[in-house]
Amino acid sequence: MVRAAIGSLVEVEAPASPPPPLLRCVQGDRGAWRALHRQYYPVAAAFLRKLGVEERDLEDACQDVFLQMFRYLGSFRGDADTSTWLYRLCITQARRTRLRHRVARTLERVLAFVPRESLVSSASFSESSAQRRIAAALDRLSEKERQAFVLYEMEGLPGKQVAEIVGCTEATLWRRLHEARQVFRQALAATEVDP
Amino acid sequence: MSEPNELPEAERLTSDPELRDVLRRANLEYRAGLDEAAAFRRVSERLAPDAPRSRPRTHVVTALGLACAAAAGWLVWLQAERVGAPEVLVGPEVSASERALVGPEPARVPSDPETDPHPEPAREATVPSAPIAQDDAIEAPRAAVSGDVLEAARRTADEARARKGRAAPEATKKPLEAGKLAPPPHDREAASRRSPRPATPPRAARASEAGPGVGSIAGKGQLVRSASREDCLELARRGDPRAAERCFDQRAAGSGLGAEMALYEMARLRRDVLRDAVGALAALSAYRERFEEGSLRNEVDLSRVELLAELGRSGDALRESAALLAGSAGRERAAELHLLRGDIFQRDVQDLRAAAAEYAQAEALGGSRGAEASRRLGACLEALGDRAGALAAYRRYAAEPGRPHAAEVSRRIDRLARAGMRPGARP
Repeated sequence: MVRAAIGSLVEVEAPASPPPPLLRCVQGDRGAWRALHRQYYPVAAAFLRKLGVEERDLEDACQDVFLQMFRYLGSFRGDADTSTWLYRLCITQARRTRLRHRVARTLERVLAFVPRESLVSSASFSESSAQRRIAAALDRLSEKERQAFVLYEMEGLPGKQVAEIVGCTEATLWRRLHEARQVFRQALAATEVDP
Repeated sequence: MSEPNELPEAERLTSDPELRDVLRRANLEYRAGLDEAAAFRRVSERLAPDAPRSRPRTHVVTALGLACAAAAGWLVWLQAERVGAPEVLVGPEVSASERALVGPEPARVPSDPETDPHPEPAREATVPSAPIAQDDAIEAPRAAVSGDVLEAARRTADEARARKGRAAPEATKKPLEAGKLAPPPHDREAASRRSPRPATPPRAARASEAGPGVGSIAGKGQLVRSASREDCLELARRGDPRAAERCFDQRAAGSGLGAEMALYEMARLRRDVLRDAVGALAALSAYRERFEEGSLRNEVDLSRVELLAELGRSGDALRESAALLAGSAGRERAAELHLLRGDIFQRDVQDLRAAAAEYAQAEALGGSRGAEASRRLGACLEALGDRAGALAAYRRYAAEPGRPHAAEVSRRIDRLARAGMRPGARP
């Protein structure tokens, strides 16, 4: 947890077998939920943000990720790495959130109504310069490119694991990464000019 | 020729020094403002046996139908609202469902120096003298459990009292401002130890209160047996914290995670809304007795230490925090605990050297709390007359950009640097 909070680019190690809290959770130890949540919550929340989940949806998205995790712990066989499982859950959840927003935006367009921005504030999340620049650049990527880029370049996962998480071959992953890097670099350079 | 799954790893962008810095900083910033403890509480609530199995799924057809109806209603409401309704400011700690329930009442989450990147402007700093003056003292860390909807409930309760023409009793307001609470007329903690489950109204009486065909909340002060946690919170939001307390008490009489949550929520309600720190402590003690290995045990232990400090029971707070630090759960929260111990030593025991030692330990653990510890360590050393040490601590705090108290610390650094240049200044 402390290691995760420090913010190294390689946040989650890839254990060969389920780590003790997970093992205890699988065995029905409810107290171990707490340890598991403490270990993975910052990883999941930050990853969802990087995937473009907005602050107003972050809490619900995180809750859903962990609810899924806790509910299906019993069927977790340990074949996949815990972090692989978590990242997959996050990607699915981010997709759902995006779909919900798409529906909402369509409705807004149909009804020609746009809600006021001031209805929701994001007081506790600082969009400071580095994060804002990166977020703007990430927004330029397609969904799949973004997933590959965030997992490989920002989460620091090995290519094989990234390919497993996003469900493609490694060759496809490298191609996506190559394209994503070009777009990302251009977008990042553009933000340097903008105030 | 190698197989596709044996391709060599591509060179990472982090090999570029400039991009590495930006990515590293962004990675840190993406983790800012997360409240893991609150998130876990909410997940636990939804995992409780009496919680709804799942939230309504977004089904496109259902959503379209519902959203059309809602949008029509909203448009009507907007028309009415244009006349002039208060702006809703809801912090992200409040979940979407709770946000909807908070209503138009402004529910500004209080500024937390640990997590809030946009805190209230710091008060003008003055040169402290040992011991640190109240105006210049570093504020005590807010409890991990405070904030969210209870803050709104507290405001509602205060306003309800004001509307009735009787201001909130000074005796209940003042102690919190001073960081201590006056002892209550009776020892509720002792009473709770004797009877951890206070008596609830008879079943028939409760049923008759609800009346036929009424939902789980019949109105202010009225409860039925099947009140859910949301119902209890709703009572608090309506400005009836006593009814909410009874509601939680009733839920706490059950078993499992629901009862755990109820006891914990009751403690928060008593502390944050009813200003009853002793009652809150009693609820936490009851939790420890009933759920020795409970899911929220770590939070409860930490909250207990904070409450003991709030009640001025410094010795107990220091003893319990030391015991926590010796265990594995406490070590995970070591930075918080060392900060809290530092505050107790500084504010209550008036032992600035011990406080500085605690802050130094918290600082060594790093993270946002480590940075905050640097600031408090600086203030302690400044009060002890160690100008060089204070300056170094403040500079460590200010080294990272975007610190919440950067302006205040910068002023202190300037002041200390100027003092150091004066002839005859102490090193």
